[in-house]
Amino acid sequence: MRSSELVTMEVTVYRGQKWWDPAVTITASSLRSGVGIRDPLLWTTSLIQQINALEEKARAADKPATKQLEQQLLACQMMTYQNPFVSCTYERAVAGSFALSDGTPGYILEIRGPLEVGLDFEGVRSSLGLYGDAFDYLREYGLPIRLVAPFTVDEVVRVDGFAATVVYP
Amino acid sequence: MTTSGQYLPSSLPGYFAWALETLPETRHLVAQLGKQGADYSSQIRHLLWRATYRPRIQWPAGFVGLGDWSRDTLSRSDWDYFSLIQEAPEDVIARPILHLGADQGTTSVPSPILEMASYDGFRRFIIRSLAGDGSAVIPMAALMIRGNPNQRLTIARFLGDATNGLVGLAAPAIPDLDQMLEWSRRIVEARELVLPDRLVSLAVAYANEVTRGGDD
Repeated sequence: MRSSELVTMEVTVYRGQKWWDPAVTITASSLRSGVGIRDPLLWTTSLIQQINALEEKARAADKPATKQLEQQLLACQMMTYQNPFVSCTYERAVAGSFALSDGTPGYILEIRGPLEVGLDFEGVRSSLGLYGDAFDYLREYGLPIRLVAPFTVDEVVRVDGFAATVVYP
Repeated sequence: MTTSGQYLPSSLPGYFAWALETLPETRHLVAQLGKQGADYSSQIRHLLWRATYRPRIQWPAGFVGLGDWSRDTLSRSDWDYFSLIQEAPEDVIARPILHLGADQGTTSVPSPILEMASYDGFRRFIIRSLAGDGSAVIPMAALMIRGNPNQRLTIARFLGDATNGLVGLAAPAIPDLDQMLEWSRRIVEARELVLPDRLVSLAVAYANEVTRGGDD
């Protein structure tokens, strides 16, 4: 997640959710779940900065930072207020599980953008030897703070059981 | 954080290490296991067991506060997840539909507080389940029912191995509604769940991994 680097690769990821409104910007769960947090944006930004700093130290073989990063990524995926990313996945089927959770209809968004801008959870874990087995299945890719440019929504499908209807574009 | 153990279901060493290394009261045991190795493993059972009955949430660094909620306004017992939601885990399991995904909706408790308490309970119930306490399956399943899909994924996978398939999943996936309802029914009908005590085995495997230099 180093936005200053030359962008060379594009990624297509998916997001499953219960609602979709083209007029509403999709935001990180830490921005949405922070009832009573005085400044959710400051909180979210500081989480991103913390993860970036920990990753940098971990890549420089700082063992305490590596352990802290491991724990922070686990916390990200267990507690919405700790997750400063818009959660997406490389797997359409996983997004479908989220869209259809609780047995009700939902939406699958297909999103495209530069790989280096977001966080590839399993990529970071595997390159640094971090534990995350419980979440491997998600193949999560996180968009920092909001789903905005340079990321674009290419398609939105409403799913209801086995039925799927393209609602965007 | 991962450790190996040939006679243990493959996911359990990872869950054990996750809880051991991140619970405030058990973190120091990691260093003890690293220094003393497997010789310390029999002692750790008592220490872990005691620690997992004391709810305690660590207020995150940089957390500015949640209105009237702060680290100073909550007593130790208030941190217990089921005290916060004012429901018994047995009642959640008995009426799962009423509680489905409830933590994601509007509650009287700020969601970060509830999530902290849920995460705290999740890790304690891991240790208790692995120590053979079958009653820990009930609150764990209640957290799964009320939680978000990520919590369901991790808890269902853990329970699948911890209960030898009575409830939960043998492979990672987000459980669907029918599965969770079926597991709730099984837990209610089982009345008393008996689980193997794997704590010392896991501690030995963990200590061996640490002393081999695979973790620290």
